[in-house]
Amino acid sequence: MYYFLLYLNFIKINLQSIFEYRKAFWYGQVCMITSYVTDIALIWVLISRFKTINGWGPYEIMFLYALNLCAYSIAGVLLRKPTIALPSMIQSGEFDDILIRPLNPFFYTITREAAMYFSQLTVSAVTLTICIMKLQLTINPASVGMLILVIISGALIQGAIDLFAAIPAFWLIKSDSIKDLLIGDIRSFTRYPISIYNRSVQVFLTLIVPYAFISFYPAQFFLKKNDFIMFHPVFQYLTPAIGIILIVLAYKFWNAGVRHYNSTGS
Amino acid sequence: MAFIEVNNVIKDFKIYKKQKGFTGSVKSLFCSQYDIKRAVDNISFKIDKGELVGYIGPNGAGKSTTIKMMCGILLPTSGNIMVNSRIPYVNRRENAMRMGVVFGQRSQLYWDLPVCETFDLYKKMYRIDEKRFKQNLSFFIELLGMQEFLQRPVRQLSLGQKMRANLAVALLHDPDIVYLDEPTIGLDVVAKNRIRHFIKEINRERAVTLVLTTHDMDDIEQICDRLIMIEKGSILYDGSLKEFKDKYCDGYILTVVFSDESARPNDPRFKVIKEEGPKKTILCSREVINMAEAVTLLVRSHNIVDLSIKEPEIEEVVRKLYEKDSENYPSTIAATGEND
Amino acid sequence: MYVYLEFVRKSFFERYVYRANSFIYLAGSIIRLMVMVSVWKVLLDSGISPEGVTFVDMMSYVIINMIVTTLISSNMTSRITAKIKTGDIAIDFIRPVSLKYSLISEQLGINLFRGIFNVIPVCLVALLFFNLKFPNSFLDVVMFTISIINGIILMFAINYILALCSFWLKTGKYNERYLRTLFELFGGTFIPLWFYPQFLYKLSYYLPFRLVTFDPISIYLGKLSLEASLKVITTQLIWIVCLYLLERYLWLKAQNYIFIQGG
Repeated sequence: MYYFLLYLNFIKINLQSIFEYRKAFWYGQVCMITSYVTDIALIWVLISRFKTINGWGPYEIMFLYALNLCAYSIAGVLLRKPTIALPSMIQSGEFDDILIRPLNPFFYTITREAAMYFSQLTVSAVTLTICIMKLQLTINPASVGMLILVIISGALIQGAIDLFAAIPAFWLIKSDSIKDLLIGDIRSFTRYPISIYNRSVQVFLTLIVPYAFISFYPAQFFLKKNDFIMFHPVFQYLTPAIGIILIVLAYKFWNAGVRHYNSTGS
Repeated sequence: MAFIEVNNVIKDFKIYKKQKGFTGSVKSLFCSQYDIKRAVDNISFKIDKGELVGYIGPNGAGKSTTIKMMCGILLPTSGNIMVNSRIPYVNRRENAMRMGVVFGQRSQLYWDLPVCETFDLYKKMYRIDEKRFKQNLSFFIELLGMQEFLQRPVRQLSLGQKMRANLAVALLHDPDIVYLDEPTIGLDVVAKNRIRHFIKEINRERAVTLVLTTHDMDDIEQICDRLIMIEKGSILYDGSLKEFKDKYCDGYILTVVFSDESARPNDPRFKVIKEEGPKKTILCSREVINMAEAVTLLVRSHNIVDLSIKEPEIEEVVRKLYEKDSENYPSTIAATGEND
Repeated sequence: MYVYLEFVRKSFFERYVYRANSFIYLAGSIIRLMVMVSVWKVLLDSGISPEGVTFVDMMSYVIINMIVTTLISSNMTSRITAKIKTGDIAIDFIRPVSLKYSLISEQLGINLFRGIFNVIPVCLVALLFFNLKFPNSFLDVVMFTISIINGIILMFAINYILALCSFWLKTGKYNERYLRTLFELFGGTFIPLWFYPQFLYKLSYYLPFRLVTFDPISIYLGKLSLEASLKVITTQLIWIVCLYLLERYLWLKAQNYIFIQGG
């Protein structure tokens, strides 16, 4: 319990330093918000021009996008910077600094590098709210609870994928291209309902790099759709389970990486 | 059992051979070829509680590898290490609680925050008792003169100030052992002295065991009692600093200005290695003739205007030791007048 | 003059060393291509849209867009901001080479590398799997080539002006992002301007971004008459001249700023 509070402290300190640079902070936030809003606006323009894409209307697509962005930003708070910084930390020997402390290296690394993705969170929250209103989705404790659960599990899945992209740095020297691939390019598939892609892509996004569980399958539940393509309807409920399994696997993978670091140094 | 025991430790690293060309890179995906580099070759030493050890060696000698193993960051290939009855790479966290580290080239301070906040953070990290924390903090603030910059953000501090703060951080939790890696690098003379003085104080007051790695031989001269020297993975020397000087720094230099330019000592025990008119630089070996005797002899047999004695510096000695082959150390290495 | 060629070469080879990474980047580009193809296939299922755009049109649009955006990509602003922060910028003022051209040639080196190892393979893949449209007449080809070269010059000018502004505005990477967002919105890199709602479409005429890729591609696809094509090219040239003048002015101001501030 003590350590939990300690890790929270690290996060607080990081946020403090970010807020120090007030002007730059707000300038950056406005920039990011503009960028995301433009993204959403463009998708909205496209889909409303064509009315639907595979049976998904503009607000439904925005719902997908917002779910994705929300999970991405929550995962990012703890995991974005370490994912980017891990390779250079290992190369420069900075990772040693983490190992000489009487703390669990995993929790120390992620809380040490915590950041706040304020712009992403606001944009996704606002968009979600707009979509829920426009689509007139049922609002009751059960559905709200489910939504929160789905977003948090989605963040776990995204976070696990982030970790799987970063941890190879313990073995490889220049691994950032893998990260770009996993988190940038493959993720761009999720902007649209995966039913528009061919079968192998759908299988890939469901079983191999399970981005589909972050937004696509849960969206079926909320939007009362039946777009499961070749998979079983139960998939819409599986997100929390997948989240937990993946994060546990990622943690084990991390430990393997640290053990490797212990025997080979940097 | 000694406080720190390093027993027959060997550390091997695999160096992967890069294969040329495209087919090479594909091949290397399946069967990599590697060489084994032995960074640390069967070294053993014991350190007692409260010792101040200088651990030196050329770059790539295996210094940082040994230190990393003692910190629990690296696993030895074979052999074992015990620090205060714990195995550092097995009981990493427990060991870390009782250990402090100072990196000369990296800072442990939080960049954007005032110094005092960093102290608070480490207090929480090491679960330091509030009373003890206050005691230690005021002690260090006074000894290191940190009062003036306590409230300033770390990024505004000078190198010397940062190093002082780093030292305080490493010692706040009353560690039993502190590893100092190049603590005086890049500092001006005044700052260096201050740091060295502090280290000696701490060692004296609190019996903290200290292991210091450095390339600055003045650090060693001024701080350490004991010297361990490592090269190419093996220990070249392990003993007291005084013995080291006696054993390896056998020669000494007399710079004599004779009143008569043509005068020179006849005794074969005096080797004249440089002549600048009446000023002659003479090399002697302690084994052959001791300093007092040499001076007396010279003064009695010649008219001398000026005389000075130069003791060898370990920097010189160490340099020569690094340069020699590992099988071929001379039993005496005389300091020559080269650096005059 | 040859110095700048050296810069191009140097940048190119710096990236060449890490060419193993290129395969992964290539995979990424192919994935993004797949996403676009799937989306447009579904949207243009019926065959031809009211604006007269077919699936084949869109494929060519996407590919050419990819080529052009690779060639005009720029991190000049970030590089300059980094140099200002570390103080390295002083070195650039001492050297007997023009800051402008050295920056641009370095960028060209980077872009050429990506062009060869990334874009060409993607084009080959596209050619293999899809029907792409080719220009109807030789005149169209000529017009297209001229306009695309102008477009690239134009974008480099805009990027360079932004880089110059970092002497006054401190943050580099956010400004780059702003520009990219603007370009995406008004240059039609994501959605062609044909599909835009009226007010955005009108707005895009006041900004130079559409002249960089959208209008040239329209020429390629034969959607613009000869007069319209000539109008595009003329407008491009006018913008290039104006931007050049603006850039010269900013450069003078920047030099004054540096010599007063001390860099």
